[in-house]
Amino acid sequence: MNDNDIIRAEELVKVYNEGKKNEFIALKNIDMSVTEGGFVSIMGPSGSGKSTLLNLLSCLDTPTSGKVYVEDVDTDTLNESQRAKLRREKFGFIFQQFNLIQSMTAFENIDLPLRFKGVSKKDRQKRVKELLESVDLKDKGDNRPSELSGGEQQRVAIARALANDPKIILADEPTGNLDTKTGGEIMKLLSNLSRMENKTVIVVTHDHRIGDACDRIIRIQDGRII
Amino acid sequence: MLDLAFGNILRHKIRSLLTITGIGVGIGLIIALGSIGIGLTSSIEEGFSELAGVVQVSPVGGGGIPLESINELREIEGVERVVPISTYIEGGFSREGLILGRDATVLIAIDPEDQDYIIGREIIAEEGRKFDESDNNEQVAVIGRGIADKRNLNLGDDIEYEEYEFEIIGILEETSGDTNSIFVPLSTMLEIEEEENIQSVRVIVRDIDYAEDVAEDINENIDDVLALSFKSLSRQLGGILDTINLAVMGIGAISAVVGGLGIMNTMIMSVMERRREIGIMKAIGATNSTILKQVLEESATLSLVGGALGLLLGWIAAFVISSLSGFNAIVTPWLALVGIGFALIIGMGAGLYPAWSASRLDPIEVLRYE
Repeated sequence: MNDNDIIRAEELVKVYNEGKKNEFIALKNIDMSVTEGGFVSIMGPSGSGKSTLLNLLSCLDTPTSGKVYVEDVDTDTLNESQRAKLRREKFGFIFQQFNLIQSMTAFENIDLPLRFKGVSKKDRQKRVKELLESVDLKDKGDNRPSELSGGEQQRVAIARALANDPKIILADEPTGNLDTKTGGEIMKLLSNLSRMENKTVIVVTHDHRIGDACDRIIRIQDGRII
Repeated sequence: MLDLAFGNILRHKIRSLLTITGIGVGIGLIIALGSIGIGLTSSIEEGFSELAGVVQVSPVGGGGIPLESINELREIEGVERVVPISTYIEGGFSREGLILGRDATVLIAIDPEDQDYIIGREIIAEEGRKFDESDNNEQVAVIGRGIADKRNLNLGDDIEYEEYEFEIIGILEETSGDTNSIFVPLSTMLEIEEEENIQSVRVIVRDIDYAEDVAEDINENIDDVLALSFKSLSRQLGGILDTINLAVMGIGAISAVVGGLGIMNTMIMSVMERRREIGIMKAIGATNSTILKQVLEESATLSLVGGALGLLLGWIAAFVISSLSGFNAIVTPWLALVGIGFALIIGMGAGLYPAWSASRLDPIEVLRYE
């Protein structure tokens, strides 16, 4: 345990369908922490529980037992809307499927977390422009996701994740739907966020090459850290 | 977030248009039917307003109202004037009922002193003159323009009533009302018919506000008469009309509720289609109430646009009814407000369940499986 820990899990257990015939223990007593500015990957084969761990760390899901601390705040004590606030202000999310809203332009997608936070329209416009520029999509703001390549879509997703200037970026297989070259570019972007802007980046992957690019690898198998 | 609501509505233009039309027709029906009711009520009230200060006194049973009762009426507090009127129909009554041919002569017998209350002070004689005191017990008549033209009668001609002849001494000017009346002196008729009792009495009250009290006083204190104020008559009629209006607007309301079901259906479909979208929004930090609000805004927008369409449709219908029938259908601001308010309530009500179910979506489930 370290004072620099930005996120910490203690004795985390997640059981699905508890008490039923199809009970499934996804996580067994996970202890882990990530220091601020760290670039960490969580690796393991599919079904090992890594996505479950990510959902718990990001407060999307609640553990069966154990605790998650984000900046020393016990997330157990937060209600649903406080958790939503935490998600939009402390975390930025990047998904394998990009998860952009298809009916909205790149600009509107990036704008969304700012809207949820209640930022004024003027400030939002300025911020979205900055973000589009930072991911090299200055001219693609008016394009819808279907008009963008996979790499471009993931860059829009990264810009959206950064909108509220969160301290932690959570990426779930961010390169899973991209070719090797584009995937490499995305990983470079993420690594820059950690090195240049002191963001904490946690990448979930089963790809060794991705894991090797990170500072630290947390290996997980059958719901345990190995 | 209202622009997001508009965006979602515009995404399915035809579906939204149909939904809006559904609620629009319902609200339009409320407005159109309501405007007819309001027009009807106001025209009846207008008709009664002239008579608001009048209490009609009729005899109970046959035989008319004796002179003593008429004198007693004058003693009742709040009574300004007592105007006896008897009506005589040539041919009278037979076993089959009233014999009233097209050209049967109907005489309205009044006291010359009361003529201002029956004929009207402002209505003048176009030819000849109105009554004066010297006409008592004389066989003279003042007639309306309408009957004069219809029967081609002139000043000095005679009106025949049974074996009696009444000389026309005045023809009244044309007015917007009924001008087919023949007025004769009451004293003459009582003499001819050998009667002492009067058929009915019109009591004019000093203060319109006490018309109903005066009527009550008369009923309590004078035997064998029934007093009815036009005011309470109009109130009763108004009550009946209100009930009819309510029932008729209820039909519109049902149709608007059906429109609301359309909104609910649309919103449920819209939420189903956007499950993933809503899941993404929640994952990146939208609260349950943000999602709830967004869906409610969408259904409120649909219903308000529908309500505005309904207002337009209802107003057009009222206009067409008015110009085709000559009867005045009136869209009051209050009615418009009721229409829009009802649309909004329906829209919010219809959006409540879809909004609630959208806000409860679990982002993990949605993002994992879809």
